[in-house]
Amino acid sequence: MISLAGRDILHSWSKFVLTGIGLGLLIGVTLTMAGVYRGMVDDAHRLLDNSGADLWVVQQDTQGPYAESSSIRDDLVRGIVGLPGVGRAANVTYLTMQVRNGATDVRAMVVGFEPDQPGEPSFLLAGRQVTRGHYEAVVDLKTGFALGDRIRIRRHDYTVVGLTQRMVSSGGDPMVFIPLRDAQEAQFLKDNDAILNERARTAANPALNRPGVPGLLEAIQASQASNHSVNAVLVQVRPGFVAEDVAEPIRRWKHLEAFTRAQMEEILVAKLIATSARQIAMFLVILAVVSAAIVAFIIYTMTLGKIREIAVLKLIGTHDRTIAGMILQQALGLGLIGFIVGKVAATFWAPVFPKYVLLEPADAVRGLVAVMLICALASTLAIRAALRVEPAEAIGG
Amino acid sequence: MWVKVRFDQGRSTGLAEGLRAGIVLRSRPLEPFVGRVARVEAVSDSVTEERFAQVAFESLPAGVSVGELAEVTLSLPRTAAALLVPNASLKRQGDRAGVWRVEAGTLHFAPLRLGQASLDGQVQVLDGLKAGDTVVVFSEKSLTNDSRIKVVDALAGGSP
Amino acid sequence: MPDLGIRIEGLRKRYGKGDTAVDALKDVNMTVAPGELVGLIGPSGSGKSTLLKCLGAVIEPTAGRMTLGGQTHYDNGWKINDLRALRRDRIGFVFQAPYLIPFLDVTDNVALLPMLAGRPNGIARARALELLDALDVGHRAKAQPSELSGGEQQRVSIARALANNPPVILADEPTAPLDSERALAVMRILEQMATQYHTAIIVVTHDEKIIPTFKRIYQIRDGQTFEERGQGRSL
Repeated sequence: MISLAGRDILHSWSKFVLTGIGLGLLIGVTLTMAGVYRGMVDDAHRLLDNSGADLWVVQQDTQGPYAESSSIRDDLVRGIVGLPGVGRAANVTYLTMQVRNGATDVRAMVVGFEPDQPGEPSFLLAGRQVTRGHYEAVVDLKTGFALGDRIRIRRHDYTVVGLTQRMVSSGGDPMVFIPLRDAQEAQFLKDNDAILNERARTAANPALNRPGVPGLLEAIQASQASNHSVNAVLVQVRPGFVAEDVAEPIRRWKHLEAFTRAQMEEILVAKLIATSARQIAMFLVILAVVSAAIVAFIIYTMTLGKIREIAVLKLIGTHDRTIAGMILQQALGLGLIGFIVGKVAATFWAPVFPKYVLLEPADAVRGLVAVMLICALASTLAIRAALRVEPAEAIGG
Repeated sequence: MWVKVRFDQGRSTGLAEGLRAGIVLRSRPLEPFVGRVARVEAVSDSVTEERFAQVAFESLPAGVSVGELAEVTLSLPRTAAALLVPNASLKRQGDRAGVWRVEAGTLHFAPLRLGQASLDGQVQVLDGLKAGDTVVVFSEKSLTNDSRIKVVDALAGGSP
Repeated sequence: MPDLGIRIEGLRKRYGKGDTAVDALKDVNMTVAPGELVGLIGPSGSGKSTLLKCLGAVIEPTAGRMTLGGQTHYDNGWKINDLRALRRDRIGFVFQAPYLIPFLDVTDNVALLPMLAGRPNGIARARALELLDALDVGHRAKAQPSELSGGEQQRVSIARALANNPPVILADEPTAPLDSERALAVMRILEQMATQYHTAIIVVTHDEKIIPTFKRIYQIRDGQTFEERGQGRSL
C-alpha cells in the first residue's frame, strides 16, 4: 500500500510548505514566549546564586531587597556577624538606574558591595576586581561597556576595570558593581538643589539654628547629608549550620526580616514573575488556538477540494478509515513541518531577542507533542466532512 | 593647605607619614600633582570605618579652594618579589580564600595565604602555589569541583 | 457460464412510505453474460441512475435478487457484510469523466485497487502496467494524470476498472463528452476488454452515436426494463 497522504503532500508541496512556514513562525513565537518565561526564572535563580548568600537580611515586614524596597542601617551588619552560625555578612545596596557612557544611557542595576564579601561579582570574563576604594566598576557584558570605559553614575565617573556576564537583576537589567560607599551616596544622597533646599529649611528652623549653640547647625546639616543606609545584609552561613536556624534569631531579636534561599526563590519566582507568567500563559493559549484554527482551515479547504476524488475512492472500495487516516496524516505532516520551522526560527532569533530566552529541550518536546495533538484535533473537522461524503455522489445524475 | 584624605580601614595597611602621594583635583582632573602624607590622624571614624590622614602638596598650585574635592593615591614602598596572581582568579570556598587550579584537565581548589595587593589587580601569594601551576583566571560562570571546563584563548568581552 | 456475469431479478426500489411512496424501480430484470457488452438506455427520470447505484451496491434496493459472478449478494436484503470489498473486488466503475486521483501517477492510479485489496505493491504495479499496455497507454505509465489527453485519461480509467479483474464493469455515460470518432474508439476498447478478460459490461447511455453498436439493449422506462435486440453495427 502506498501513502496517500504522502503523495498528496508531494503533489501540492508548495502549498504545504508555505502554510508550514506560516504555522512555523507562529510556533516559533510560542516557543520563544515559553523561553522568555524560562529565562525569567533562570534570571531569578542566577540572581540568587550570584549573590553568594545563604540568607538575605532586610527591613522588617518587607519582601526585599529585590521584590520590594528595603532600607536598613549600615551598622546592623556588625550585630549580625557576631551571631552563631554566621560565616560572613556584608552590606549591599541595589538600585536600578540609568548609567551613562558617553552619549548612550543604559538601564542597569547598580550594586554596592564590599570587597571579598558576599555581594561582589563571583567570576570575571576579563579585567580585574575593583582594587580602589572609589570610582571603579565591574560591569556585566549586557551593558555594552568595555574595559577602560568611563561611565557616569549620578555625580561621579567610574572606570570599568572588569567584565562579567549573566549578572542580571530579576527584571533582566545588567548589573554594575561599585564600591559600597559610592553606591550609598548614589542611592541616598539627593541632588544639589534638594541639598540646598534642605539646608535652607534647617537654617530657617529656630530650634535647629540656635545662635547660642555654635556648630549645632553645621552638625545637623552634616548629618542630613550623610548616608548610612543600605538595602540588605547578605549572610553566608558557616558549614554545619542550617540557614533557617541562623535566620530565626535575626528575625526575633534584631527586628529585621531574614529570608533563606528557598524563601527568596518563592518571593521572586512565585510573586515577582507571577504576573508575567500569567501573561505568557495567556499568549500561549491564544497562539495555540490560532494555530489550531489555521491547521483546521487549511486541511479542511484541501479536503473540500478533493470531495470528488474522495467520493470516487469510496465508491471503488477505499475504507473510510483509510481516507480519515490520509487526512490525519496530512494534518500531522503540516504540524511537523511547522514545528521544525518554528524550532529553527526560535533558535535563530533567541540570541537577538531583547529579553533572555532560555530554550530547553524538554520544552521543545512538549511543544512537539502539543502541536501534534492540536493538528490531530484540527483535522477532525475535515475528517467529518470526508466521512459524510456519499460514494453515490461519484455516480453523476 | 592640606588635603584631608579618608581611607577605608580595611585597606589602610601601611598608612604612614612620609608616603608619596598622587593628588588629582576634581576641578582639574587632567593635572596630577605630587605630595606627601604629612600626618596620620589618631582618631578614626567607627561609623564609616575610615581612617584619616593629612596630605601636603609638594608645591601648592594656585587657585585651590577650601572644600574642594580631590582624589589621593598613596604609593606604598616596594615589597619583595613574590609569586603573583590576578585578583580575578581569587575565589572563596567556605571561609578559605584561594584559586582554582587546573591539573590534568580537572579542577582543584587550592587555598592560599595571600599578601599585599596592588592597584592594578595583582596579589602576592605567600603560600599555596608553585611557579608554573595553571590557575583559572576568567570563566563564563562560577566553578565547582565537577564543572566541565574547556580552555580557550579569550572569552567574549575582550582580551584578558 | 450463464451463472457468472450478472443477473438481476425483480429488483424494486421504493422511496418514501405510505401514500407518498415512489417506486423509482418497479420490476427490473437483467442478465449479462461474461464477455458480453450490453447497453442500458433510457431518458432521464427513468430510473437509470437508481438502477446503476443498486448495481454498484451503493444504495440498498427494496426487494429483488442480485447475483454477481455466481454469488448472490442481495436477496431482499444484503447477503454479505462488506459492500466495500464487493465494490472493490467484483465491480469495476467507469465514470463520465475519468476521475483519476490527481496526486497519484498513472501506474499508481491503476495499481491502487489491487493494493487496497492487499496485493503487494510490486504485483499491483505489474498488473497495472499489463493493463495500461493492453490499452495502449503503457508509454504514459509514469506521467501525472494532468499531463494526459482526455482520451488517454479515459483509457487509464478503464484500466483502473479492470485492475482487480471484476466479473462486471458498470460504465456510466462513458462517451458523453466525446466526439463520434473518440466515442466509437472507447466502445471498441470496451468490447475488446470484455472479450479479453471475460468481463460482463453494462454501458448506461443515451448517446445516439453509440446506441447502434450494441448487440443487446435494455430499455428502461418508468422503472421497468425491456430487453431488445440492438442493431449490432460493427465498430
